[in-house]
Amino acid sequence: MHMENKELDELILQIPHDNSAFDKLYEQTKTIVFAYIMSIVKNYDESSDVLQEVYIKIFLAAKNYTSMKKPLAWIYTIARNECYMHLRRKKIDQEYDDNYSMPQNVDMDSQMILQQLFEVLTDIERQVIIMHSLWGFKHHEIASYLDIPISTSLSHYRRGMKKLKKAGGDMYDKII
Amino acid sequence: MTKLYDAFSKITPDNLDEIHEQLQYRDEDITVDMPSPKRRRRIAPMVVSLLAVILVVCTVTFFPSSTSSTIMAKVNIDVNPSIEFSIDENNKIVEAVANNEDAQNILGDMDFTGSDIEVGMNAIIGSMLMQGYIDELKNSLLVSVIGDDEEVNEQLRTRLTAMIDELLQSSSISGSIISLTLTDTSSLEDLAKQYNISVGKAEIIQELIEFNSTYTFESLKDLSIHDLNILLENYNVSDVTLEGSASVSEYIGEDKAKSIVLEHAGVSESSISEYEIEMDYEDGTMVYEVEFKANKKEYEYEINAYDGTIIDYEPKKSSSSSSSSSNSSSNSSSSSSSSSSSSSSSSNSSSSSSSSSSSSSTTSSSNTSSTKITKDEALQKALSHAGVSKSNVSDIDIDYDKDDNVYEIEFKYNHYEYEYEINASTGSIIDYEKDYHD
Repeated sequence: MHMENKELDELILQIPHDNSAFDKLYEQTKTIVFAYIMSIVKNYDESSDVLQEVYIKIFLAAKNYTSMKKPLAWIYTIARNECYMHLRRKKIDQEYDDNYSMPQNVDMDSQMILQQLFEVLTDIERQVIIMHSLWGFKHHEIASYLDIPISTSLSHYRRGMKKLKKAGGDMYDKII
Repeated sequence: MTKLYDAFSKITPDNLDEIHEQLQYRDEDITVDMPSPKRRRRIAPMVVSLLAVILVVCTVTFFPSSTSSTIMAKVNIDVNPSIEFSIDENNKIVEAVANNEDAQNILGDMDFTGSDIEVGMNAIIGSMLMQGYIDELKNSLLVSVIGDDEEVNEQLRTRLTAMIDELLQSSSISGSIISLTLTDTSSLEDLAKQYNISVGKAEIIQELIEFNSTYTFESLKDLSIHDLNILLENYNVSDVTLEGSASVSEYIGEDKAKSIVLEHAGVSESSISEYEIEMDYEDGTMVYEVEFKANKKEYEYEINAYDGTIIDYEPKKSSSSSSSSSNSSSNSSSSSSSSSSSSSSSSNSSSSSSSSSSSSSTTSSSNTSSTKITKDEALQKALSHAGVSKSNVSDIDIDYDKDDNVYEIEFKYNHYEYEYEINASTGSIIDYEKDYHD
């Protein structure tokens, strides 16, 4: 589901020299990046715009990228900065918006999961779950990125998962 | 989390083309500024007020009518003795089963067949009161009602709860009761059988594990309902109704815990802020977890709830304040070893801390960053924290993260996936997780 850090590292290093590397990176990571953006921006259309900007920045910043153990953290930093810049520009609190350009032919299960994710969880619970389960960040990493205690990250994660389980019933029985 | 991933993948737009288009006009030189890791070190706090609660678990399951008897529902009662009544549609007892030895003592020779459930309940409670299984100190009860008609169960639950309460009151005991309704106990039944406990108790333990992944069935199954009560209280489990309050007289009490802690830390009550205290079950015993701020520092303590022994604390005293430093192998992440390199530190932490940590390996020796525990040592720490032995686990994976100076350890045991992060210099556990994995 998510690429190994080593692979990602090599891909990013290749971007300035090899066009296909960027495309491959995009395909491999766009879902988790989008999930993260949605968790903060919430509006589908705006998230789509932010996603675009994030990858533009990734491309441009790849020239200055040096090999690192956790390239996901690098990508995360870009995504986070874009999200907050976007929110600052907008200045208003966002609502989860699934009316506009969200694909309509999505299966019921997925629709429900997304709906629950946005309606049942708090912002921070959603973020932590996405960062831990989709991005594979450990709690101590999440803690340092969000500047919260490790235990808080753990609690948000557990509580969020519990809420999802409750809302989703059996769907969440075998979550991981 | 593949379902979550799949859901998002279905809605993630594909704007690669637009991106390439845009890139024709963009040529900024960008460098990503990675934030330096700010590690906050805290033992898991969970602020909860100390109220004890008794559990009345009403579990509703469908009872297969394939059995020849007309069993319509089951009523379980747990204190420590665990008894199960099967009743028919008239609430008459069809069968009474003792789930453990204590329960056998309670049931004795009584024959309940044909009696009303309330009569049976009455007799059982009376017997437990008489034999001392319930008293002012142990006033927690767990009653589970299992059947397939939600409404009927609810009525029965309410009635039984009220009845039990009255019974206890007449013996001058304020009981504590929790009620909870479930519809599917099939998974619980396996667990209950495996650990030789009632379905209701299995449910409670499961709820607790969901809130705190350090709990395991193995460690909690032998806890009395009373202790489980206290833990449940901590986590504010929402589908549980609480009535009454559990006695906490066997513990030293919050006030005493506070004074022990403040004395050890050498701070006065007036100088502290953000004081939090809660009870938890750690390392095989009920503990008080205390946190507060003083002198611009964050303090955390874990003390034995029965006798006040300090099990662990943060921050460890540095030599600059002329006390000694000692490492603890329990789950607290200590500050990087280089900061506590001290010339005067030795293991004479004979000051107030009667810490039971096994390793008082001091950091007085040269602790440059080259001092590091081995992979195997880190693995051992993780395994012993998890309470499993190396020979029983599978899929062991150990990584050393140079940037953070931690070992990342994973292994599987008994349907669970464990993840640990161990400080490579001190061996203390920074983070751990246990997830059910099929």
